[in-house]
Amino acid sequence: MSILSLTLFLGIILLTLTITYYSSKKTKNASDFYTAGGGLTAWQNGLAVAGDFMSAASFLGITGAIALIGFDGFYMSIGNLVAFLVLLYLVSEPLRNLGKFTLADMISARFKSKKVRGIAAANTLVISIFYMIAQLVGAGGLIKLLLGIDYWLSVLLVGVLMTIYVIFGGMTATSWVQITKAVLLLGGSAVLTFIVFSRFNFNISEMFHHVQTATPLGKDFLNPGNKYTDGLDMISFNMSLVLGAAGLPHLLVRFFTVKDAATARKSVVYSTWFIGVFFIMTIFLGFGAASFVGLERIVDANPAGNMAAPLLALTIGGEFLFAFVSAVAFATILAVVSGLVLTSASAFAHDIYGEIIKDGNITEKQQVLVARLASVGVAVISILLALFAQSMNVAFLSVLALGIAASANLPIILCTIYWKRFNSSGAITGMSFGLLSSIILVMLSPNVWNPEPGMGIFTGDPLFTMSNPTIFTVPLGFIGAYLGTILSKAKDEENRFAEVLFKSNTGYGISSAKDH
Amino acid sequence: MESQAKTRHSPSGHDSGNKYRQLIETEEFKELIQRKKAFIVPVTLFFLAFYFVLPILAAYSEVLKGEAFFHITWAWVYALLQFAVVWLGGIVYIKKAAKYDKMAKNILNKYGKELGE
Repeated sequence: MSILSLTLFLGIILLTLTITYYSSKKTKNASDFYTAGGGLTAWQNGLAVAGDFMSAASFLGITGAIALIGFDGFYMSIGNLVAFLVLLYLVSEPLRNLGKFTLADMISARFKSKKVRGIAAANTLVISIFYMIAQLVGAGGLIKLLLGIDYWLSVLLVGVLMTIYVIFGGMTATSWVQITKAVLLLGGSAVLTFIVFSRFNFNISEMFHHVQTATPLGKDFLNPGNKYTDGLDMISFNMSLVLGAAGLPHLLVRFFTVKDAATARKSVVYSTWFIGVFFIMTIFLGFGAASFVGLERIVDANPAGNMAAPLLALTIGGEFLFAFVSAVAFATILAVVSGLVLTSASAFAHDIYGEIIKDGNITEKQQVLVARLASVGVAVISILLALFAQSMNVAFLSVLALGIAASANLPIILCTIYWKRFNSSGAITGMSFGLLSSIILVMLSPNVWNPEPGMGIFTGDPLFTMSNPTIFTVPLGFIGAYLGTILSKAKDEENRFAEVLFKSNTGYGISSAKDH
Repeated sequence: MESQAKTRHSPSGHDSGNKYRQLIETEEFKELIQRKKAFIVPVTLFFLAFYFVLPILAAYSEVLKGEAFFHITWAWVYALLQFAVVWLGGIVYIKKAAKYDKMAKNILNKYGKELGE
């Protein structure tokens, strides 16, 4: 590692620890810990939400994918962006009006059932921990590539830092680390985009023309179909992108960090601008990498293309830009995993311990203490699993996390808010159908079973041939919710629909933490 | 903080259920829901349909592979149109929502008594 890289790298660590130090002074009670006291502005939350989407997977992954497979690499950008409309139109406002700290809170606004809360919390834990392991394993490999630190040391470093941010600074630190990183990433990408564009004489036509001869794909670089040859599988993948985001717990909890539904909606709209501009810049970065770095060098450094963006920085910007982009990628990883730790800890401390085991009879102090302990627990488990999974191909974990979010969470969120007849049995069967079908189908899919050794977890032919089952599991989630509802005799929840409908549309009785 | 903890755990018994059932039957509330539905449902269906047309065309047709202009293929043009839809969808929603906010505020003002405030 060069002195320059080391300096920037330590700079990032120092910056985030400073943020944590100041945040810790503001983190006194449960609402500070879980939701930063609900005091974020629309701009701040908009950047934080955008930051969750500008993960290492999108910055390094999409740039690399576009460079390697052209248009097919861009699906992820489109799906992630349109997902914001689902969030804006259907989910964000009712969520803010009904919930307090967690996703399970919102569903519990309608059903007092502990079973419902328990399964909702379990889904949050499963999604967040799967996501975190995928991120940590990816992080370990990336930091090794970027900075030359050993895998185990990288995972441990990221793991320890994320734990420190969360236990001392709670949601305040988690949000501000995310905001800071979002600004750095947008800035870094803008500089790279500018240089790439200048190499094409600021001419879009020239860029699209040049890239048709720059890669072995030739003209097909600009066309769909270079990677995804199975149409149904590709549609299914797109479905998971557009529906999954609105069910991702670590994203949804961000809407509790603002004071009301109006601010929540504004933050989604700001996010669409940040993230939209960012995704457009990934086109320039991907085209730039394909043109100026070259396929061979990208694949040599990492077969998945994850080094395309840093190598582009090195090629067109020199050592400093390379070190800067690497440091920003590191910050990106830190920011995303700390959000995941916080979300998992909230589900455990607030839902499982506070509301289910202790029946809500828990003091602020106990609540925060348990949340901190849970953060450490979640972090330790994830770090151990990530160390154990080093040599595995864990791509299936991200597919699974997004699939469960789309199939188990989204149907239940929508039915809770919009379906009058829906009841707690329906909520339980819906979540179980979505969760189990996602897990089972992914376990049987080519992500896990692959005839080529090393491509999946096991070597062999998959029983289910699609790599993304969302097109089946989302309907299964809805069918579960429907069947559970009509087959049960429970009618007691019907009166709560009126309450949920009234509150979600007027903001009456919104839990605001502004009174301390 | 303590005060909200109490509200949240207050028994939401028969009476409070009745209260909300009456409130959602008021003219003002019904109008709010109707207006929201008339806007949100069609727009959501539109952007989801618009979204899924891209992978469907990509999978089962060749139309996206032709050049549109400036050496750019239709696939990218369609993809970027989705960006425009998202940004436009955001702006329109904010405008509409400001009206809903006003209606909701009126409801809360008018029926504050029933809500026990």
